Amino acid sequence: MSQTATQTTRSYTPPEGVSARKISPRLDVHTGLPSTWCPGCGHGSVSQILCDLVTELDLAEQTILAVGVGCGSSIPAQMEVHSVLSPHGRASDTATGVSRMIPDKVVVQYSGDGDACGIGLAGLMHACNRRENFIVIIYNNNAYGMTGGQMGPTTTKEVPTTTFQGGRDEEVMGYPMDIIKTLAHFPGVVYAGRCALTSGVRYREASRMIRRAFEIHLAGVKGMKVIDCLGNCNVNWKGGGVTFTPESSNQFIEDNIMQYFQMGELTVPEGYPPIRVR
Amino acid sequence: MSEKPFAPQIGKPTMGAHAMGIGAMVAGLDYFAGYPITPQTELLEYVAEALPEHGGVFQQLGDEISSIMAVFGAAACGKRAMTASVGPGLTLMIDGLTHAAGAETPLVLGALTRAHVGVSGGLYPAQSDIRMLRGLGNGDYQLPLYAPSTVTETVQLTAEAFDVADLYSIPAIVCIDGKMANMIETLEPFEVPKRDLPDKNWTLDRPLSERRAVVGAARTPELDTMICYEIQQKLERMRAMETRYETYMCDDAEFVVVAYGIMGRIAKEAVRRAREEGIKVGLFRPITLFPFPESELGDLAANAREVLAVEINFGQVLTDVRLAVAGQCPVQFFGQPALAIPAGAVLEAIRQMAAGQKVEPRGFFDVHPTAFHLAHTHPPARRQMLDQLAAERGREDAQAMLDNVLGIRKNTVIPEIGR
Repeated sequence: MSQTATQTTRSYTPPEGVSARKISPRLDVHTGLPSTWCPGCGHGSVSQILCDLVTELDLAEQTILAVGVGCGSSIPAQMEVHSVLSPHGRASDTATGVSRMIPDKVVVQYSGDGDACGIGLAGLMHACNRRENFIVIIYNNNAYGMTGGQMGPTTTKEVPTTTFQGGRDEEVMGYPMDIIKTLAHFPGVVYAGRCALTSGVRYREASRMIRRAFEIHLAGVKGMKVIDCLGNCNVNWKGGGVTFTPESSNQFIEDNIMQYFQMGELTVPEGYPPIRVR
Repeated sequence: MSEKPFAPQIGKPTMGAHAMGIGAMVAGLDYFAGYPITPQTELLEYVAEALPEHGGVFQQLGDEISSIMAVFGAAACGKRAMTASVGPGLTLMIDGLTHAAGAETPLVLGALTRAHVGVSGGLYPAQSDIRMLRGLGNGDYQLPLYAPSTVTETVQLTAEAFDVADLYSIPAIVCIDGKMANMIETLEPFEVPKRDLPDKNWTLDRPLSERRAVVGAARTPELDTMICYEIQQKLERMRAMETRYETYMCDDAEFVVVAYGIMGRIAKEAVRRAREEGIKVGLFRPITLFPFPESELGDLAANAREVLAVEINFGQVLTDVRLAVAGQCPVQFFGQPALAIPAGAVLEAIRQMAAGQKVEPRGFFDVHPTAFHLAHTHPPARRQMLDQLAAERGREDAQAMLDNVLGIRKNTVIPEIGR
């Protein structure tokens, strides 16, 4: 994977207003490989935000991705940084071991909502409880995308999944989990917030929020920085024959999913001005 | 590597569970994560004290899965990392073990085994997890599995396991049973052979400009298939290079006893006593259960009249023994599900084998002669137990035995047999 990636690294144009001196000596952390994600999927947006951020802050040497299992595990194919893949739900534990052994690096856990809030919830909560020192980015698309759109712990009532085609059956499956609300109260969590990837404005909010998590981490504030990114799964929200386009799925998040989840920052360390979200 | 050099205290009475920790410290342990479970807690407590003193990190995580995955993360940074657990915890740890094997990441797992299926009631020592430690969850692979039989050997093999793990870039397991874990013996001088270890150029702590590290399953079918071949090549190399065993009085042996771990040392005593009686018997003790010393045992079996496998289980290494013997002579089995088999019982089995008889299996009342636990449990179980006891020893004998054992419950009424 990595060898092919090195060969195909493409040239990089820095974002406007960024000094060329600040660019990583590797010029571009994006591997230039074609993305394996579906068209319109927000995983591509998050990986773009991370690529830009890591390049801009010159963090390619410091960043280590700890990736769980799900669609998000393709991110090492997009980012030319050290990566470690763990089994489904164990990214928090692997990140614990990595960040304890090489504490001067920026360890970023990248997980889906099933990986972080389903099978890996215990590991993530214990990591927060232990005040581990790494960044967690959850791509929350309200479904198990890789396996074809089954219902997950964060799935809201209206999302048509293949296992609950008429939407989440609250009698049997209860209610969607707000992971940020859950984790924001842990003393070990220093930054917790939720963003979305449904529009250009939201994208900028998301990149500001992820950047803030990195800034807090680089400033030496010890503790967990958790960000939940709401995004679509326009291909696999298909229960009951419902079809979505990327645009309609993004609108669906705005109209339906957001009423269940509080947007914006819930926990911010002192001295950091709040990031305004719509 | 740890900051302060660690020196083991030779000549000090040392507990088996501590021995694993000492071995790890000798090897330069950097990271240990674990979750308490009997009888591993003594090891946990030992490492919790010793490791931070020498610059390492000790963590107690949420469960066994978290522990082994954090150890995997530390190992991915090129550090020497270890965890340890017992039966039910090992079951959980296999989740991470198969991943670490697929990711070709070196780490060490201490396996302390106890008896019973599911959650254990008695926490008795046994060797009942050997099959699990060789089966190891999903995927076609095996891991080096050491079964030391003394406290000193536990220290030495644990230290060596780190080198073997690094050399083959694969997890390694050191397995002792609950009896060994709680046993205290004098730590004898030992030596860990020096090996040429490969440079870990694939780890996360190296500079990115040198080489990009991607630790973990390859996630492309072709690379995953390639890793399967790589693992098999490693196993072949290990079979050639890492096989270990001990023989005792095997030169002219007509009968061979095969036993490992705690049973290895007990069987040695039984063999010694049998030799005094004039029975030409020897002991073959596999030190590595994988790779199993197959051809060596096969050579012994070629000149033997019979082979007896002794285990604290119902024959989990027996399959390997049979494959090694390959029909050259009959193989008998002698085992029980829990608690170490006394040397006297092994001697009796050797006598039976030497007399050309079938070795009598150990039954429930051989393991629990009075079974007083059952007498306190619910009535149907108690009645069944009494029926059985009375049928074996006569009703009066059973009555006397229970009167003796159940001193605290004098008014226990023994029901009529067969009622």
